[in-house]
Amino acid sequence: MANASLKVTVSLSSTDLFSTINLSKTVSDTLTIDGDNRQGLTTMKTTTSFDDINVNALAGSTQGGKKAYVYAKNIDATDDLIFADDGDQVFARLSPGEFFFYPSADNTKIQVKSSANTPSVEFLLLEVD
Amino acid sequence: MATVNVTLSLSSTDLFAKQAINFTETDSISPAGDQMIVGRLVTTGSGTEDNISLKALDGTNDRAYVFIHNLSSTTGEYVKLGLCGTHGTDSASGDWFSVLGPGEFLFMPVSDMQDIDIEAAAGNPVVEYVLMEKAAA
Repeated sequence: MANASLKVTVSLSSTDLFSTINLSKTVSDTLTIDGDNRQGLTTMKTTTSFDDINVNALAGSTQGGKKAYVYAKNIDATDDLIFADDGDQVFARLSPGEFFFYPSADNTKIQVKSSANTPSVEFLLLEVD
Repeated sequence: MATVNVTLSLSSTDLFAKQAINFTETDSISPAGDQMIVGRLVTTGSGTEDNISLKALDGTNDRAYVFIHNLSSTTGEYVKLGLCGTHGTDSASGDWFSVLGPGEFLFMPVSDMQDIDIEAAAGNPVVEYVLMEKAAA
């Protein structure tokens, strides 16, 4: 599979988080995607038990290994989504409408479950070799 | 309560032969915890875990919105991010949930951790970060 590029931009802004400074930050990066496991935008209904979002175990050796860029959003209006690593350690929780983007590492899988009911998660997962 | 606007854009024309990626997500978050930090940290170096919160993250599920950016441009100067279960103590050696290569960044609502451990793989890369605790205890 040929290498691909992913352009990522994150912006944060606030006029009232601090009294003395405004927050206004925009950063961009162009990432090289060269892994074997390349999963496009997907939606999945969750349950209160963990499910993996990666199809194959994450591997690769870049920067400590098992690296993958992951986007996820809670597209539900009511319940939270809870994310855990391959040791079942919870590291993130998305309330309705919230999202994250991060480079996962050092884990063969990423798991998600709901806080209650069956909210859906939207995600994208791009492995690095 | 403060409002912070967050925007994430992802785009690619060559990830898939039959599907281009091009979307933008926006959210207005309202962090209401008792620590909000804009920080710049020169990492200590390989073998030492640095922390980014001033005190233990608390509130329900110890949640916080975190943006972290590795400012290094030197190959090999990536930083490893670990889940710190108890503020003031290091995460288990070799147990990371993320790495940021030179120039890379993340935005994530973290949960179930009292702090984040940051360890450079090499050199002393500088990280800039914004940490916004979601709710007070």
